[in-house]
Parts: sequence; C-alpha cells; structure tokens
Amino acid sequence: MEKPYLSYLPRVADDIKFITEYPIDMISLLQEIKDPKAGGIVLFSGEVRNHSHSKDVAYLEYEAYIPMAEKIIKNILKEAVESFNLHKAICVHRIGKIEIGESAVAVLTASSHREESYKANRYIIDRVKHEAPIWKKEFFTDGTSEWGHNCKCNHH
Amino acid sequence: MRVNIIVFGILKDFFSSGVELEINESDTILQVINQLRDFKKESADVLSRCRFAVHENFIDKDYLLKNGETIFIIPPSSGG
Repeated sequence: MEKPYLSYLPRVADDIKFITEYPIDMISLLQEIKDPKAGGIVLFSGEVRNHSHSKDVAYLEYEAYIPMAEKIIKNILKEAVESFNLHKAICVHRIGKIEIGESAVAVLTASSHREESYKANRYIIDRVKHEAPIWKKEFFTDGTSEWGHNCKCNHH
Repeated sequence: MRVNIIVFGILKDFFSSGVELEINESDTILQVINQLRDFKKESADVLSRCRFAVHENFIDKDYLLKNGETIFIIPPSSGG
C-alpha cells in the first residue's frame, strides 16, 4: 500500500500529502524523521481523548478543505525548517472518523540539538491548529454532537 | 450573475455543503455574506469570523466576484 503520509524535507516534491484518511503510523514516521545529523527528535501526537466540555466523547470526525490544508501545512513546515534550523519536519493530520486513543495529528521534528526540535514542534502544531482549514466534530456518548471551536480568534 | 458557495464545518449545519447565489455585477464577498446572513440569521456570528478563498487562495472581503466563480467559506479552524 502506498504510504498515506509523507514528510516535508528541505528538498521535496510538490505532490506530497499532509492530510490522510488512514490511521497514522507513528513507528514509520519515527523511522522517516531519523537523520544522521539529528541529535534530537521530538514527536507530538494529538490524541482523541474520552472527554470534552464535561461530557464523555464517543469519537471524533475531522474534515478538511484538502488542497488548502495541504498548501498551508507545507508552508508552515517550510518556515519551521528555516526558522529553527531543522534537518527534517513532518506533519500528518488525519480526517474522517477517529476513535478514542487514536492519533488525529502527528508532528515530528529533528534537529542537531533538542532545543530546536522542541520549540519547532510546538510552533508547528500551534500554527497548524490555528491556520489549517481543518474542522473537528465531537460525538458524545449521550448521542449529541458539536463542532469544535478551539480557535477563538476573530481576525480570520 | 451566479456564484457557487461551498462551506465547511459548522456552516454545513446552516447551508448543507453549499448553495448557489444570484448576485449583481460588481458585488463582493461582503454582499455574499449579507445574503447568507439574511437567509440564516443564526450563521451571522460564524460568518463574521470566516476566511474566504477562490481558486485555492485566500481573498479579501472586497474581492470582486466573477460569474460562475466558486467561493469557499472557511470557518475558524478546529484541527489538532
């Protein structure tokens, strides 16, 4: 099967995919981020938790405006690589139905020293959550559902 | 002239996945927002916080629309 994810590398093809409908394979991503120049690798996984707004969550569904989400995530990774002097950066966001305990998004960063990887990782996930056109709908165990609203800014 | 509107996220609760609108020559995104708001008053708050895109690029609210164009209305993100 074709890999459902691909990374941003400093030299990268234009047809890479950062949005996937498949489960995110952390082990493969950890293999992919490895770099002989990297002394530090950081992996963040945004997981589907079992509670939200004091209610029990059954599962989540994500949707994306895929072409623009791809473009925006690619740009964020490119800027992170340049700003933090990373050797590699990867971001994969899953869409569709995602169960409790599964990963909705993964960000991996690799740099010569750990400080840059930690900082860049946080920078990437914060910007992806804020800027990428991706939306979450929470489905609760009581049968209700609600669109997510983790971005409270008013300047869009 | 006519334009197509595609919506995402919470806006689908108001406009399904999209609508077609009749607008005037020299209308901008602002007139589109007004029409949608008049159609579904509950959408006003979300619409005021949306971004807009045409041809996979963000556009300002004074963007001059062309006949047959498709406008993507992008509510505040909630990914991650």
